[in-house]
Amino acid sequence: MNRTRISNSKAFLVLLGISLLLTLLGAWAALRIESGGHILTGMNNSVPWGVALTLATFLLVAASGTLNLASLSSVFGREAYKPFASFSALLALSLLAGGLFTLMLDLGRPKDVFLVLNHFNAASVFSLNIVIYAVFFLLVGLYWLLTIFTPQGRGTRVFGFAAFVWRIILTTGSGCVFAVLAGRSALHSALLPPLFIALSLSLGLAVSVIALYKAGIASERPFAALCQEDTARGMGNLLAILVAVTFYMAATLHLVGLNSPPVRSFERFVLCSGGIFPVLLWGGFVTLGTLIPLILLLVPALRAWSLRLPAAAGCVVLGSFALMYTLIITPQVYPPEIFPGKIVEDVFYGTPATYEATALEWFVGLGGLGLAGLLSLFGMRVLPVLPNRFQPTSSQ
Amino acid sequence: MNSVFSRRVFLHAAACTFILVQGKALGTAGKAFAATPKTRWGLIVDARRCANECAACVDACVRENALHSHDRPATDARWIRKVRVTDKTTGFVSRFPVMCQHCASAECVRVCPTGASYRREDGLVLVNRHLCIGCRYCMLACPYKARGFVHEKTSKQAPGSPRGMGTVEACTLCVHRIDAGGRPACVEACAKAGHGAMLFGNFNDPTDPLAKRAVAFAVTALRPELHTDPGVRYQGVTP
Amino acid sequence: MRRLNNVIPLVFLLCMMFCPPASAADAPPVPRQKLLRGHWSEDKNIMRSNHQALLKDRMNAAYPLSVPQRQTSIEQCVTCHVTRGEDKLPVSAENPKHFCRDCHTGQRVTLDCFSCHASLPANDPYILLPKVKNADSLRQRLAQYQAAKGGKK
Repeated sequence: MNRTRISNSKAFLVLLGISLLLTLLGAWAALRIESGGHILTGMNNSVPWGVALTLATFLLVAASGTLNLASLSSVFGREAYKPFASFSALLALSLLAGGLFTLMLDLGRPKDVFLVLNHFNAASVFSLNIVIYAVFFLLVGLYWLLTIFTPQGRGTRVFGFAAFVWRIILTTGSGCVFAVLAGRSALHSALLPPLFIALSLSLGLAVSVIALYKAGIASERPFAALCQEDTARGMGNLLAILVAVTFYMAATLHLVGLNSPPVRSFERFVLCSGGIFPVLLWGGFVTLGTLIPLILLLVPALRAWSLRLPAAAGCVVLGSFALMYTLIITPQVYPPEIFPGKIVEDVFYGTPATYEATALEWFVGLGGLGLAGLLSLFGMRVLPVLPNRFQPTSSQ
Repeated sequence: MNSVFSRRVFLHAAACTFILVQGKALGTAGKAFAATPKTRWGLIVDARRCANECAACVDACVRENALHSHDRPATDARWIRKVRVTDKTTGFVSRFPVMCQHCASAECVRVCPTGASYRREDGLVLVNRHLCIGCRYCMLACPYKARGFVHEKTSKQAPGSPRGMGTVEACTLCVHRIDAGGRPACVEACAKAGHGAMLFGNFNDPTDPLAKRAVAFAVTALRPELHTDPGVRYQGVTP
Repeated sequence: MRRLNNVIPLVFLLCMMFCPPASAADAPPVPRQKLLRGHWSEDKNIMRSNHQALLKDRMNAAYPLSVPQRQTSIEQCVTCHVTRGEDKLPVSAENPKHFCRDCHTGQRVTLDCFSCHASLPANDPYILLPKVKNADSLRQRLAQYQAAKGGKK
């Protein structure tokens, strides 16, 4: 058995404490917003979905993506990634829980969220997603337990395949939340769900790498003890490919947008004139999220640097968040083309809105991240999930 | 051979019956949600009669529904907005109010997870605040940015317009007035101000002045390419 | 999509082992009191134990897809059930002496109604029942109402 549990080291307790603090901060911020109203956030009637929801979507997309490593072993038969199967399944469950935590806390009336169960509108992608998340928990939870207790069993492969298919459905659902909005032409594109899938693949792998490093710190072991060098190099190459695919999808979306008359002025706004949004897109996504990781991962001279992989993964994570911010926030800031070909003299309909997230919104978003960290650390403490190269070590 | 043939026939018949029954069920289910042909409330806004410095409709709406201002225009409730639109090529200027368009195939109704956003049989699109969880998805979906969110605690609410913090709201076409036989506050205020730019009535009643005007003159919808079939139509506005 | 409307929630709810969706046609959990003179019971104890179920029933009945009867909103209750403050003006739900809050401050049930609904008496002609004017006591209002209805049940 080359999997262990994390032991109660000082580093583990510190990381656990940080996660707990973030979670409690998020819960406190949500309570403040619930009693004081959304006026305490930066959201307004033009920008109803802000940073907290961007972080929630980010966590949900990352959740399905972190199943990558598990899928590589259970579905695509790559034996090198087998030790990571239960680790990646645990990550997926934790990140999904964290994303849902943020999503529910950002509601205007969070206590009423269970109304969805009694009053269900099946035409709404939002409510269909709730069903998809629930089934994801079931499937991946079962798969996770199977990878721990019967890793060689046939059930593991069956549930691994089911989990893989379901995670594609989940990411498509997340993309469709935005893609079905016919009123927002900037989002109403068939390319958006595939972009989300590509993003989940690259972001998921990056988050898995960072989580492995975090687990290494928590268990006070070097990274080499968790992952062999050639596996790490394989992960690096895979990350480079996925980053390139994501860039291709995003570039196609914007290129096609530039050629669609309804969206052309919006594209000019997001690519050139929109202030913070072009900065995030070009500086955040293209430079930090695509070019720098590709350089780090593919340039031969840098191969010797031991922190090459986590640095690239960190850049990918930040770049993905920047992309998601521009995808979600910019179409709300830029006024919809209700009167094409006309100058509209009204602040609401004619000029781009301003949106500045307040600290409370960030706390609610980071609360989800904290919960994800909390659950994954707890899971690694309780069950043998952490891959360990050096055997034999402590048992289940 | 005989038994195989009859089994196939039986299966075919069963499948067809099943499909027919489902189709009938779908058909009847569809009927329960269809608008009744008797009433479809709507507005016709004549932009040519909309006066320059007038905000009677906006002020009337604020008074009628107690949309108290907090001096924060980005988050304050505004159920009707007056826009001034200049054609880039011709320079033609028109002005008119924009509010919830009460669409027959409303985007907000389609995307609401709890079904709080619903369309009444007589054409009004309303928010059932008992079911609204404040997810604001309908605000993203509305092609006319007509929906607003209540960002702060409400007080001194108008009795005809219950509105509370954490829920989504929009123009109700003064449903409390319509159900008591009246007309929306904005239409009344425009008439009182002497402009008569707004007309309220029943599109489905051929004797109604609104229906007569809609048949006789060209009334346009905003964003017609989205096929929302709104209940608010405009004269003098090119989409 | 309509078919999914029937299948998905059932499957989901069965899995989660929740009750099937409620509808306005479901009977309230306590016995309904017959309307007396257009009003609910005059017996304080009956109203005390049943008003929650009756209010919920009225609330659910207000939102069918067909045109609702507008005589069901809570603003009509507080138009008659008035508590006046020191300045002889009616108090709103923010004041603990308000008709509903007077009891509910001590009870475990928090009032959420007046976060949306108006809690002061309505003088909007589109909301008021016909011929009910501001009266100084509940008895007076009830008498007005009975007179308007011609003393019929």
